[in-house]
Amino acid sequence: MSIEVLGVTKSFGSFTALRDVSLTVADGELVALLGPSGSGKTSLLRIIAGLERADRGSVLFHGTDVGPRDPRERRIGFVFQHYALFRRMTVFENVAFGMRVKPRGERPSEEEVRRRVGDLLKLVQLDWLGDRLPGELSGGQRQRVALARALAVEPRVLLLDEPFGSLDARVRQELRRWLRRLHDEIRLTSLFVTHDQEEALEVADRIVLLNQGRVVQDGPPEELFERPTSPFVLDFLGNVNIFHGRVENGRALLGPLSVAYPDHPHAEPAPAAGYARSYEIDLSREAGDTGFWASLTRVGIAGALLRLELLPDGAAPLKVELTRERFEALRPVPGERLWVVPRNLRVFLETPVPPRAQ
Amino acid sequence: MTREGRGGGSGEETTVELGSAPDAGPVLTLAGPLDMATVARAWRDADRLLGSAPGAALDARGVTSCDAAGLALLDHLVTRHGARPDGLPAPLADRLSRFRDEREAAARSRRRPEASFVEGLGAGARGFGRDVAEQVAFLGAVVRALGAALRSPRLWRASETLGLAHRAGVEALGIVGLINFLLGLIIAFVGGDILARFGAQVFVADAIGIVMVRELGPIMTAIVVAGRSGSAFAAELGTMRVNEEVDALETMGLAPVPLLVLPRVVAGTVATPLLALYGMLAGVSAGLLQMSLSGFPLAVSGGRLLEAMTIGHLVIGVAKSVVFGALVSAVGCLRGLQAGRGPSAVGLAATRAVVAGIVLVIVADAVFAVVTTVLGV
Repeated sequence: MSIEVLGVTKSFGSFTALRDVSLTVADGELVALLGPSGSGKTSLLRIIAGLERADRGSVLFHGTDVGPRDPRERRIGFVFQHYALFRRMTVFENVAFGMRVKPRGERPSEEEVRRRVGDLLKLVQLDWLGDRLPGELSGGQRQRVALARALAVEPRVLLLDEPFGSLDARVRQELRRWLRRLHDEIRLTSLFVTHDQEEALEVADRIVLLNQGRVVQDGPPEELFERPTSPFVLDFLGNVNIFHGRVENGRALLGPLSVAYPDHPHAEPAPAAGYARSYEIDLSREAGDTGFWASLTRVGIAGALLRLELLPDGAAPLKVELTRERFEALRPVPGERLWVVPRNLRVFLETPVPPRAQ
Repeated sequence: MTREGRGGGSGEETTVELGSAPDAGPVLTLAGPLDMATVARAWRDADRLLGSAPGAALDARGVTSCDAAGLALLDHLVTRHGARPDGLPAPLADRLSRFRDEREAAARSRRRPEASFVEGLGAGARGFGRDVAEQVAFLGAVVRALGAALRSPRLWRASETLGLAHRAGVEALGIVGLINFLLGLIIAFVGGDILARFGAQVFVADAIGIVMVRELGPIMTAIVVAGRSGSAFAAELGTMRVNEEVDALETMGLAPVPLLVLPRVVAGTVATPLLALYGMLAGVSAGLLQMSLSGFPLAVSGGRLLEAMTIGHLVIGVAKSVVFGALVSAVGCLRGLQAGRGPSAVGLAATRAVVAGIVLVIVADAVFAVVTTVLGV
């Protein structure tokens, strides 16, 4: 079952949450809806679920407009950020609930319900917890129960709203790998909302990046990461350092740096900025032909990586990430001056806002 | 393939065609000049063609020139028909996005930053109207759910309804009794003081009977129910709303009104008149107590009371508390379901439920007063 969203616009009062958003999720695909908070991703998911109505535009399931249909007629499974489990029912009853409340004709028999709940709890690896109450489970277990409950109604699409948002980092990592394996197993068309770029990059087949209610870029994770179409995408998918400057005569002149920029061969200068990811910066003790000096102010440990902060003369601080081996090879000390060379500088012109007619 | 072709102002022909690409679905192809002279017709043609094919891709490679009118057409196709502009040539796409930014900026600047008094009044009136409309729609949903439940008793959530009625009724006996007893005592003392000046102290029994049974008993009981149960209903449903449990129910195919609202409204509607009867009894006995303290034997005061109190007063009093109970519990549920998001939403919903409940009780009482006066009962 594919999902198509066409030109959806939604405002809450004077705040426009979504502006003319279109996207598609192919049958069996796992797509991440990524964006900073307030970018409209949850609103879009709720519109697809039918919990919210779009002001304009339409939502199609398998080519059929589901606009006038209630959530219950859309046959969706929805996983909420805060689980939304029924607190006074056991895990088993929570999962069975959706089947037991079906109209008489479609309702499976009680043995059938028992068998299917058992299967689902096995699928989410919680079959030994069926008679517990949700309050007695950990966050990760509750979210897996919520997922089993969403799958129990045999949905045509699965929608997940920040499913791992309120879990701690370790459980989150485990669960996202587990979700990916589960998806590979059941191949249900799925759309999940997240603000965590790592989660999106790791789990999704495709990422739709939203900002301020618009789709900024839509593509496979590698594409967004390797070929970002705007500084926003680049910045959102990783720590970047910005070098402001201008382009003229086919070169970008960014403070102490100068790189080729063939797209602007004119003599007339235009403001531009270069972006380098924090791990795309080399440090050394000897000066080369391109680069600049900066003094090391701070060294922090982030797991296998080391996060360094450097202060160039008369410019904003730089964030640099080094692997442990490279750090060991260089052994820099805070206060030391180092030669900084961005390895991969991406240049974007700085005129995203068109001039306003007066 | 549907095709619409018309001569343009500049000699070249402007065409609008709807075709389909093998993998991309419907494609609207525009060609020729798009300017003031040709847009009007192209607009109408495109509207007609796209009426049956929302979300078509746009192909404008054949457009030879495009002015602001042409941009307005493209913008219209994208916003109104969901046409996908991703196939536009880069310069045209760029101009289109600027055009849209410009249009939005203009729309923003048209809005006035500060609302005047009149505007505020209008906005307030509109908000009030919307609130009333929501209450009416909600009432309709409750009545429909009630009808469905009466037709098929299987939908009846009897044990839950009984539990709720127990909480709303039995657990409120103490406070309802206390308040009505004290109220009866106060009225008897104040009334007795005044009537004693005319030597008519025996009529305290009449006053206490009519006031407690017909007016204050039902009202005070309803206010207690609003404070205890209306707010509790709002808090329970509000918590479910904030925790997205209501959304979860909806996605699993359950409407919240029959499942959550109906048991509460039925429980409130049944419990309130029973409580009110108990409250009336407490108030009246307080009046009789005061009279016996003032030296009237129970035979005298009780006789007066039975003479003044007709069955009509009792019926009206009970009828009122049925209505009050339904109003208070329904508005409590409505405020709960209307709860917003965030930690303060539940408290706010409970407060709003109490305020709305008390206001509705007084308004309904006024309606009763007018109706009974006109009917002369």
